[in-house]
This record gives sequence, structure tokens and C-alpha cells, in this order.
Amino acid sequence: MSRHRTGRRLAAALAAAALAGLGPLAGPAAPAAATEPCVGVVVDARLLGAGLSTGCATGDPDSGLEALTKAGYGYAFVPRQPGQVCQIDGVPACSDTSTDTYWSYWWRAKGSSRWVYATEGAATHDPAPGATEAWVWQDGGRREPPDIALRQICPQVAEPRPTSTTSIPDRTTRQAPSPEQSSSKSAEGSASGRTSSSRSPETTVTPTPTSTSTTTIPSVSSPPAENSAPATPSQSAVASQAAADDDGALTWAGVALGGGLIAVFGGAALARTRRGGGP
Amino acid sequence: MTVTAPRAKSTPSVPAALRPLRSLHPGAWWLWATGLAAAASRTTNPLLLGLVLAVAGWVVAARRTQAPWSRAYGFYLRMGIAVVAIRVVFAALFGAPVPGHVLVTLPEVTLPDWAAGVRLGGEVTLEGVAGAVYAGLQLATMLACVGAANALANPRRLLRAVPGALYEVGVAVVVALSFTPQLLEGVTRVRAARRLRGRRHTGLRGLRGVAMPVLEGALERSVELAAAMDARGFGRTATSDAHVHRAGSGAVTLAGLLGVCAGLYGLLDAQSPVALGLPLLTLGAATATVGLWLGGRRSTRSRYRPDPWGLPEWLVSACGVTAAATAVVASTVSPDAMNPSTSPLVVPTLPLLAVAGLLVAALPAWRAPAPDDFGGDR
Amino acid sequence: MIRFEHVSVRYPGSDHAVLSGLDLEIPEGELALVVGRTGSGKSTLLRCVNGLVPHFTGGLLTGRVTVDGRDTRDHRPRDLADVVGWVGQDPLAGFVTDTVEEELAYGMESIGVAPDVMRRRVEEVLDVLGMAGERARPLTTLSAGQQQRVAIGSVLTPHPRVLVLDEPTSALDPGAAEEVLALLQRLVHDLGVTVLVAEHRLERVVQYADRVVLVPGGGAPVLSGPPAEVMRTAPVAPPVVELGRLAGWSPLPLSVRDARRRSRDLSERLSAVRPTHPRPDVVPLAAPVVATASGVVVRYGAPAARPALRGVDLELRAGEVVALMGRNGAGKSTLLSALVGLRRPDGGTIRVGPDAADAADPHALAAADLVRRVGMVPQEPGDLLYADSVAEECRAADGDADASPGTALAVFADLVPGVDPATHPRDLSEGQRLALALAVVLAGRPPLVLLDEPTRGLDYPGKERLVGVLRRLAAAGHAVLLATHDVELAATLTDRTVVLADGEVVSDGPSREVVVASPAFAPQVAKVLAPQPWLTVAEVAHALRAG
Repeated sequence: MSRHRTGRRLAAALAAAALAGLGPLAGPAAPAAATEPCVGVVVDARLLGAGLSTGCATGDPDSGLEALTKAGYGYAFVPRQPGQVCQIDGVPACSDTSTDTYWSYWWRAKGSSRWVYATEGAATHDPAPGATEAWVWQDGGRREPPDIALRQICPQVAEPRPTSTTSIPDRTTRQAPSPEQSSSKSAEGSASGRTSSSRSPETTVTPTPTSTSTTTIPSVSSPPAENSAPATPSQSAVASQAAADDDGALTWAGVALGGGLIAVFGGAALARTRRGGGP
Repeated sequence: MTVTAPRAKSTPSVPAALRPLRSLHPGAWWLWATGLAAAASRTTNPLLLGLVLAVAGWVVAARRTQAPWSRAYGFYLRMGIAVVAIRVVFAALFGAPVPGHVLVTLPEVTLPDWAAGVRLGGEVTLEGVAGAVYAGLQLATMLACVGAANALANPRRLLRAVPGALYEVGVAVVVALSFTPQLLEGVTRVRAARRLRGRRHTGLRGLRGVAMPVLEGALERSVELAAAMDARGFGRTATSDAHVHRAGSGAVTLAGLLGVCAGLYGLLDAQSPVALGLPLLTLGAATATVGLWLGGRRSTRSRYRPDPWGLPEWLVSACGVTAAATAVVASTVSPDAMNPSTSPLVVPTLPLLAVAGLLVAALPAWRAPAPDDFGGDR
Repeated sequence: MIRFEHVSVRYPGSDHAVLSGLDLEIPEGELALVVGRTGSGKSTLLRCVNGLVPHFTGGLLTGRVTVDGRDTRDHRPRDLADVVGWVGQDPLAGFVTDTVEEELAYGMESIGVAPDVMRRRVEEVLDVLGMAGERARPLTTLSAGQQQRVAIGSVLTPHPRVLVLDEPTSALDPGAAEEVLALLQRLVHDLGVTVLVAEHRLERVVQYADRVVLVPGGGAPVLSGPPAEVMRTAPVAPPVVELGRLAGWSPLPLSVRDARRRSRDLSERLSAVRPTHPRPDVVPLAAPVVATASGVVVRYGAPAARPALRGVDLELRAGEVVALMGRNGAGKSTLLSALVGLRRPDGGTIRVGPDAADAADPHALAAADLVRRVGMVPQEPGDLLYADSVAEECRAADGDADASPGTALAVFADLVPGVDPATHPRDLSEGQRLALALAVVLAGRPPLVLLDEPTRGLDYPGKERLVGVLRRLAAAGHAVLLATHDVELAATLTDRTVVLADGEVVSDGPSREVVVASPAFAPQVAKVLAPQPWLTVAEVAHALRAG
């Protein structure tokens, strides 16, 4: 009747319209669990005989390397070129990296179906949530990553879905391990610097057998032709899998020996020059 | 009096062949140092590199003389420290981000999209710094090996051993070596003189005031030197048809050098045919040697007391080659020890084979020192 | 042995001939001395013997030069290397190798002498030089005299028949010069080498010469003959010869000993007269003190090293001219550097200023201030000069010293009349370059003027001009300190002499007393007329005229 009542009716109508409009934006329905951002990671080591695997990096990783780590992979850099990945999950030996044989890095934007060869290094590239990254081992060619949809890599994070429903056989999935795990596994690795990942067909996923939270450890169909542990030339790396403690002691003994020799020769040189009259 | 290291071979009685009363051919020392540098180039293990530096320093301390050129090692070590520092600073400012333990976070400068691959500032991680330190240390060690060779063997005596065809080149290098300190001394003198004129040495005008007298003085001195050398017989040739011989030997040498270049390219490039690699390299080297020999024939110079190459020289060179060979073998046998990873950062292990090779390279220090310092190292 | 037949030399780009119509013959086994003013063609003559003119320097040579039967037209310098040995002015600039032994062998290597012969000759020459103990010394560590001797030895090993030396003793102190000249004597007398020497400081050499070649310059004919004859009319002559001319002795004495034997009655005539310098000897004590050094200690290198200066005390007053003398390495240049502020003393103090009240430490002064208190002409005057022409140099000096434009150019024109201001400084002669450096330094009218070895490379007329300039400076109230080896200059010009040895002041007193008492630093006239305290021929002439 009065302006007052008209105003209230108008406000109510507006509110209803807003709610209706915002409804869809308020969030997907319960099944729309894709609210949590994630980045998919595909690692194609088939040319190395180590199979194809994927992993999901939840959250918003800051760089391609972080996405790789969050997806459960360990990596190593070429020793003299930090930034160039030469080894993922222990394959192959870093000395195998050359101009023709290397880990190639691919991107796929959210919603796209086309793989793009990376124009920026994994250390500086920040993948947007919903994008997918792929690492494909090249052996003199230009192999493209396989066509796997993101939702197959990153299921709704709420319930970790075991693998399967994959169109491509013998693909292993990974859960995102906790950050502590990743650092612990790097600390464990001794001279080789790769994570003590077990590539034996039996165990999969989280490299440390002592993984915690993620319960499901989907046993993947072990690919028959998968080879066993990648050949790591360093005997210390082999030893590390067996007895990490022994290896640590040996390393420190080596360091002590090296330091001792340096001290002896250097000290003798200094003493000699001081006697003779200074360099 | 020898200082024996606890682990090294103690040599109270060195065989007489290793204890001559003359100084070594400088080529032997340079081969030894090249072997050490080659060993250093195969590894980034800081323990091994430190051992190379210590061994080289020990041999320099034991075997050098009192001559002015023997102070080179300390200078090269200081230069090596500068190299490592520069590497670290560059890695911290511009290097690829290496994830790991963050030491300090520098303010990051965001660059436009077209420079997206370059990073300025950002996090400085221990792993990144460690990688830079390893790489810098490797370069510093190689520099120190050159410094050790400089300190042990007068480079000019090495130039005396060049083949006859390259004699003029050798003399040019010798003269350049002596000119540089004179030039520097001239700069000091002229700067002092400029203060006498009431000038401040700043700015571009100041540079001209220093550069002109120095360069003019250097020019006059070089003309004097040329006159003196001409008057003493520099450049005499045997026959009158020297230009024919020169063209012929020059052409052969040039062809040989081209062959060497092509052979090296073929060797390093994995996709070129096999024939382009090693065979062409050897053929080119042989041709170049023939050309040099031809060119040397027309020279009428004699050599005053040339350094002989005998058993001590072979042994010293063998020590250096052993160090290089063991490093090469160790890098195939234990690559992870020779190039320890920095991401993640691990404690480096010690490859014993390479260590053994380096200890062999320390053997030349046990030659008895020459009886008279000035008389021993000519 | 050496024969010039109607030789004329014209350098490229020059319109006048340096030598024209020269006929000269120098027989074998003689020591021939080439004398003449700066720029008269002495160096050109020497370089003709070697073949450097025209093969190295360029230019047009007409006539014929023959050395030991070889014509220099057909033989380049390198072809004559086994017959002619040439030593330039700066031995260090001519060294190719590192050590004494290698330098001695280098010449023989170039010629292709057999190795065992080389070995033998190196030992022989080391004995001749008297340097057998220094065979492996690096060349840069030798003293200047030793370097000169090694340079001579290095051209001696190929056993040349002729030795040509261009001003070998100009940079040497009297002791080292004696050594070099004794070596040359030995070569001539024992080994029969023909030696051709060009020298400005005739007083050292003329007594040894068998022949004097006078090159008057300007196209006038060259005189050649026994020294006594040529010296009779030569425009440049050592004090002994001038004394002989004055006293009318015939034949002219060439050495101090000859002169002493003739000087008996001259001494008697002079014994009744006291020497009066053309200038008063004593500077009034009321003159302001321009510079004071007390207990100055300067060290080079490590703190434990031997100091270059050990507690030097010195006082300089306006209007006096002081000579600083001493062996090479006694610390003269170091003291000068300390006085001008180039080196901070490690101990003691130095103060310079227009008078004692306004004195300041030169090291702490700004450059613009410094140039108005003390000016120094370094050993190498060319170090100060960097402009393209004399005029530009003077303009820059006026600007630096805040003097009115044209001051420096006026001083230069006063010192060296007749030089085109557009000349490049490097094209000037030694004396002219020294004058330009002095003009540049004097633009600021500093009360203290320092000169380091100013007479190196100057001929007698140049030295006289310098003496006149410095006297005028002293009369105008400047204090002048000269570091020099030239005892004649010190005797002519200076009021006081300070002798440094091993970093300490050994004597400091009126020149007359100090110089006469020391055998090394006494001028020739003093040696001839000893024990009477006569220093210069001018004094003697003055006394003879008066008395």
C-alpha cells in the first residue's frame, strides 16, 4: 500500500532472482566434486619399457616440477644443468640424456584436446588448474603424449577412485603423496639422487612403501613386458635400496677420506710455500 | 727434505732416473697439468675437485723455483674464487628455479610474456646454489691447473719448443707476454703523472689522457724492439726462393688443419658417416705435421741448449695422463659419484678409482729439487 | 772497415736531407766517437752502418755504405747481423728473452750457429762481461748498468767485427757508466772489435776515443779525425777540453790526467783568487721554507722489506737550487715522489707550501691544489703529455692550473724559441719535450719545482738553456730540486747538494763543498784543479778575466 510495502516486495523479488541466478554458481551439486583444482600429469616411459602412468596433482601447483612431485613422481636434474629433467622415477640413468633422447614436456590447456610442446621449462611454467601436463621419453623421434582426458587422470578428489575405466591398458595412477613423503624419499636416495622408487611390477603408486594416508593402493595390472628395476649403474644406488643405513656410513667415510687427503696435501703445500717464501 | 702424506707412498729412496739435476722440459709439466684439467672436467664432485686443487698446489709448492713466474698459482686460485662467486650470484639472480630448501627469497621481477622463460629474482634454494658452486668449482679447478702449469714451467720455454715453421708466431707470443706487464707499468706511471698535472682521473677525458701516452710509448717501444730484433738477425731464411717454399708448406699445413677440423666435427657429431670422423682426423693431423716439417726445413735457426725429453718427462706426463684416464673410466663406472646430484642434494661419495689416479698425479712432487734455484730453472 | 761514400739520407715526408754528401772512413780496430747536437743526424749515421736506414726506417739513401766489404744496399740488417752488432738507447726495449743466458744466445740462434759453438761463446762472453754468476737471472731484475752490459754481450756473441752503440751511458750513473766504458775499451784493445759510439756526455768517453766524428747537422760537412784535432773547433766539448782551450794548451787534453799534468801554472795563477760563482752561493736564511721533510720513511712491498728511504730530513727554501745525487737505487726518485704526494710516506711527515705557515701534506691535497704548490717533471716527460699539439697541451695546462690563457705557451716559447705550436709533442726532440713538460708544470707557478733526471738525452746547448731557465726560476723565488747524475750540471747550477745513499742522507751542504770532496761526484774541472775548489770553466774564465 505504501511505498514501504512496495519496496519490500521489490527487495524480495530481487533477492529471489539473485538466489535463482546465483544458484548454479553457488557450486555444483554434490556430485560436482570438481570444485577442487587439480592438474593432471601423464608420464609416458613406454620407450624405456617402464610403461605409461598418470598422476593427479591436487591443489594449484606453482610449477610443472611441483605438479610432478605432487602427482607422486620423483625426478632428477642433469647434474650440471639444474632445470633439465633427466630422470623421472628413476628412469633412465641421467647419462642417457642427449640431444635425441630426453624427457619431453607437453602441455594441454583446460578443455582443450590438443597437446602443445612446451615453450617454457617446467621450473618456471605455472600450470593453471585444470590443465594437463605430459612427460614423454623421446628416442630420436617426436612422440606425442597419449590422449587421456583429465577426468580420467584426476577423478573427484573426494573419493580417490582406483584406476580402471581406462581405455589404455597398463596405466598406473598415482595419488598425491604428502609433501613429507616426497622429501623423505629424496633424502633417502643416496648418491644416485633418484627416489628409491620401486619399479618392480608388484608395488606401484606411492614409492615409499610406508605411505600413509591414501588408502587405496590400486594394484594395477602388471604389464607383462615391464622390465624390472631400471639399470642403475651406480652400485651405491643398488645398495641404497637394500640397506640405506650402510650406504650412509660408507658415504660419510668417503667424505672423511676425501677431506683428509685434501687437508694433507693442502697443508703440506702451505707449509712448503711458507718455508720457501710465499706464493 | 720430503714431506710424506700418511696415505701416500713414502719415497725416501727415489730412483735416480726421477732425480736429475736439471729442470724438466716445460712440455712435460703442461701435459701433466692438462691431464689434471681433463680429470677435473669429468667431474663435479667437490671432494675430487678439492683433491685436484690440493694435489696441484702441493706439486707447485714442492717443485717451483724463485723465478717471478712461479707465483702464478696463488693468483689463479684467487681468480677461481671469483669464478665461483660469480656463478653463485648469477644462479641466484638468473638461474632456473631449482626446488628445494629455500635459503633466501629475493624480490622477483616479473618479465613480460615474451621473456617468459627468464626469471629474475625469486627464491634462492640451497640446491640451486650447490649446483652453481659445483659448476664454478669445476671451472676454477681447471683454471688452477693452468696456473699450476704456469708456475712450474716458464711458458716461454714452451714457446722455444715450437716447430720451426711456427717460430715467428712463437716469438710474437713471447713478445706479447713481455709487453703486457710493461703496458701495465706504463699505465701506472702515466696515472701518477696525471696527478702531477692537476687532473682527476675520471670520465672519458681521463681515459684519453692515460691511454694516449701509454699507447704512444708502447708503439715507440715496439718499434725499438723490432729494430733490435731485425739487427740481430730475426727472420733470416736459407734460400732465396723462400717464398715458393713458404707457399707450398703453408698450403699443406692449412689443408691438414682443415682436415683436423672436419675430422673433429665428424667425431663429435653422432650422425655423420664414420669415415668423416677418426680417419679424417688422423689424415688431417698427419698432413699438418708434414706441412709444419716442410715449413721448418727452410728455417736456419739453431737451438741453444734445448730441453731434452727423457725418462723424467715421460714419467711426469704419464702421471698426468693416468689421472685423466682414471677419471674417464670412473665417469663410466660410477657416474653418480663423479657427478653428484644437487637436486635433491646428497652427500657426495668418493670414487676411489679417480682418487687413486689423482694420487698418482701427485708423484712428480717427489723429485728432488734442483740444487741451485736460479741455475736449475732456466 | 766502415766506409761511407757520398752518402745522403732523406726520410720520407721530410723536405730536407738529414745527411748529405757524407764521406767517412773508419779503420778497423778503432773506437770512434760520434758527436753532435740533438737532431744533427748522429742516430741516422749509426743506423746507416747497420742497414736499418733505409731498410727498416724507410727513406732515400744515395751513395754507398760498406761494412767489411758488404754493401748495405744488398744486405738487410738481418743479413749483417753477424758482422755488425747494434745496441739501442734502451736496452730493456731490445730484450727478447727472459734470462741473461738466453739473451746472449738469442743472436746466435737467429744466425744459425752450431750448438756447441754457441755454448762455448756464451761462456766466453759471460767472462768478458764479468757476469758469470748472473747467468740465470731474469733480465728485469738487473740494474741499468748490468742490463746495458748484457745488451752489449748479446750482440757480441755472434762475434761481429763492428759494434755500434747509440748513447749507451745516458741512463747510467757514473759508476755504471765507467763499467760499460771499460768493457768497450776491453773489446777494442783485447778483441779488436771496431766500436762506433754516439754519446752526449763527452766527458766520460772522449778520453777513450781513437777518432771523433763531428756531425754538425744542417747539411754541413762532417769532420772526422783524431780527438785532439776535432775537439779544437767542435761546438760541443767536455769541460776538460774547454779548460784546455781557455788555457791555450796544445795539444788539447782529453782526460783529467792529461789536464792535470799541464795545469801546474794555471793552478798557481788561480791559487790567489777565490772562486766566485756568477750567482751568490748562499741563499739568505730569511727566505721562506717551501718544503720540509722530516724523518721520512718509505717502504715498498712487505713491511719487513728494506725501506727505500730511512729517515730522510730535508728543507728547501725559496730561491735555492738543490741537487739530489746518489747511485741508482739510492732513493732519489722515491724522495721526489714522496715530496709531490705520489707516495704516502710510511713514516715521518712532509709539508709543502708557499711558506711554513701555509704548508700541507701533498698526499692529502686535491690535484688542483697540488699543482699550485709543487710541480714535478718526471723522468719520462712524455708521460705528462697527451694532446695532439703543443698549443693544445699548453691550453690544457692553463685550464688545469687556472692560469690566464697563454701562460704556458709563453713559458715554452721562452724555453725553446722557434717551435711551431702545431707540432705534435712526440715529434719534438728530447730537449724540446722536456721544455714543454716544464712549461706545463710551471703554468701553475708552484713555489717548489722538482725535476727527475732532466738532462738525460740533452746535448750541451740544451743543457745550457735548461741551466738558464732554472736560474731564472730561482731568481723569481721558486725552489728547485733536481735529481741527477750529471755532476757537471750540479756543479754549474746548484747552490746545495744532497747526497743519498741506501735511503739515507749522506751529505747535505753547499755544492762546492760536497761535490769537490767526493771522487764520484766531482766535476772534471774540480778534479783537474784539485785541491782548489773550482767547479766550472766559467768560474775559471771569470777569475782569469778579473785577476
